[in-house]
Amino acid sequence: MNIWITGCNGSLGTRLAQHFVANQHDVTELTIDLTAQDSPRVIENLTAQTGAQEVVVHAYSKEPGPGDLLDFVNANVHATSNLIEGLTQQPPRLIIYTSTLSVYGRPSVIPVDEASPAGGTLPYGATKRWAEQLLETFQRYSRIIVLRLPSLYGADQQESFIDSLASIAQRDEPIELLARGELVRDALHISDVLRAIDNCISQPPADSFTILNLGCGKRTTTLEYARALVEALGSKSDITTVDRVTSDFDFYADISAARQQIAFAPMSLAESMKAYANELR
Amino acid sequence: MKNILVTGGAGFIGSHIVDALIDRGHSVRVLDALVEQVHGGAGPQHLNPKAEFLQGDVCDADLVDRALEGIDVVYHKAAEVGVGQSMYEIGRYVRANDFGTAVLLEAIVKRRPQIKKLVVASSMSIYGEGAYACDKCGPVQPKLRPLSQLLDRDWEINCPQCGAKARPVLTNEDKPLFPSSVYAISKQDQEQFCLVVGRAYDIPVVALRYFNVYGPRQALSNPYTGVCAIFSGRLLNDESPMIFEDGEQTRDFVHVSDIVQANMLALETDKADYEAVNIGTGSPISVSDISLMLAQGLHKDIKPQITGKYREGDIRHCVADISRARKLLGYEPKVTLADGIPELLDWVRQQQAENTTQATAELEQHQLVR
Repeated sequence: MNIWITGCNGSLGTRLAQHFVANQHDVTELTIDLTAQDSPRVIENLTAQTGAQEVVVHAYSKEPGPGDLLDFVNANVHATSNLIEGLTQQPPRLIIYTSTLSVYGRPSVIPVDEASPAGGTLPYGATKRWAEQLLETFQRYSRIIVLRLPSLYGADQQESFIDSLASIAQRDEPIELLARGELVRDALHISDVLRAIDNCISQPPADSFTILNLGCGKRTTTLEYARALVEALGSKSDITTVDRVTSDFDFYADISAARQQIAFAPMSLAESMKAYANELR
Repeated sequence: MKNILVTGGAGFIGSHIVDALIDRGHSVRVLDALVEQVHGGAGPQHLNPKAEFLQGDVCDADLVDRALEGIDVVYHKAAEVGVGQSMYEIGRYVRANDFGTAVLLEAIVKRRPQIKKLVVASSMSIYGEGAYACDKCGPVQPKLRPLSQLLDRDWEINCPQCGAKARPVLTNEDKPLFPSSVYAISKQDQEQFCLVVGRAYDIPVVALRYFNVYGPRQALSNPYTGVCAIFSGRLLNDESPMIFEDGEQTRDFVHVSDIVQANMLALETDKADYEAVNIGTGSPISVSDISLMLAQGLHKDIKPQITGKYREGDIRHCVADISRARKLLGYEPKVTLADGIPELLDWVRQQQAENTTQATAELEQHQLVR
């Protein structure tokens, strides 16, 4: 299958490209500057040469962290607008957009489902939501699946709180968890996301535009993550909890729509940590 | 007297705001790119000679920073405008409206506390469909009509809960936003950018959600915007205004002088700071009736051509609830359509209108009209 991937320099894009190649897909890493004004024309020229792609996985993104407003607007909104404008002449059968659960902001109830209002504040959550809206306007050309991802962990990710815990646990140093370790977080091993994307390609939902939450699917506290990780790694780290509060809030996603529509079935916490520990060894 | 920057100040709405500000004794600087589609390659025809003019793009960070030198208040009116065209010139609309606003906001934030107020032009388009009521289910907020319904040429809105026909009611600012075109999304982004950044840095921001604005200086040379301008342009060329669906869709047409009124009030009071406020009239009129009023005013015996087609992303009804504008701004619309249309037509008669057939053909080419 012909697949284009944007954002191949990022951790998710890199893993996606490796995964698709390993599965015998014909993968093109779209490495052009999607924020450049002429990028729609460049894409048009590329599709004129190659014909329409079957699938485009749009993983290009400015991830949360340092950066000014312009960086987020450029990478998350402007790049998406240029991509879909460039694909108009030869639209792919399917576009999969890797969005984020951050679009919900701080929800009033958990688990949060796809019907919950988007309350993500600027710059990251709001700009990712705006990119989703732009893609929604493209559904007359291509089927669109938006996957709202939680924090991802795995080898080479280095961005999630699990990766931070792992680096401490590998050194057998003490792990201190704030808020008594009771904070509810949602995180997935990256291999679960790769399987979800495979399912989107092989059995996409019937609707022309679909938003699906991905997540671990269970209320899981930071203490539970830490214990499972320490056990999987065989680490000697002591886990202590303190009362000190954090600005983070309880969050996890309702993934019943993804279970139903793309047969999403994330690994259990123990399986997931075991897979991660094997990668780290 | 304040030093005021008006982005897009050479355009239709911006130039009227500039005039009003100068009349009130303010010192005004205009930043405008003089986009050819709007200005027809001519200079700034409506620019008040007492305003300082900077020609350039709001995406040019260095230029924007220079434009803010010595400024107290910013009116952000620069935008690419037009629903249909935004659906295929996607990058251009997002660059101008999203990226341009981000450039402006970063420059304002860097200069804080210099800028004391920002007034941003938002749009009713961000609502998507307006508000409705169902006799059985009460208030409902439907999304766009499904394709199957449009293909059946079944134009009116169905209640999303029981499926019965719903009736349009006035739309207030608390209605959830369902922007349905790239233009509408970019205006939503613009508004949210300004309000969120304003709140974060204590820069008072007022977002004015304009309904369907009409009046003199509307660009007849731009075939992609403003139904009054488009219809007038076709009538001037002795062509029938082309109306999508059955012509019974309703809008809220607000005269540009009332838009100016709201903008002046936003400067004078702090009651609307950090708020989004509808600016319309609260009175619905069908698109067919507008076409007939324009033809009558131009003494043309030309009936509209009801195409029975639909345009991608179009809504059925949206009329403003202006309670918040009345309460916070003390706004009251003053110009009725009966008074405003003759004035618009005086302007129209002086203009050479472009043929809008090409614009419709472009929409059809992109399968945006079916």
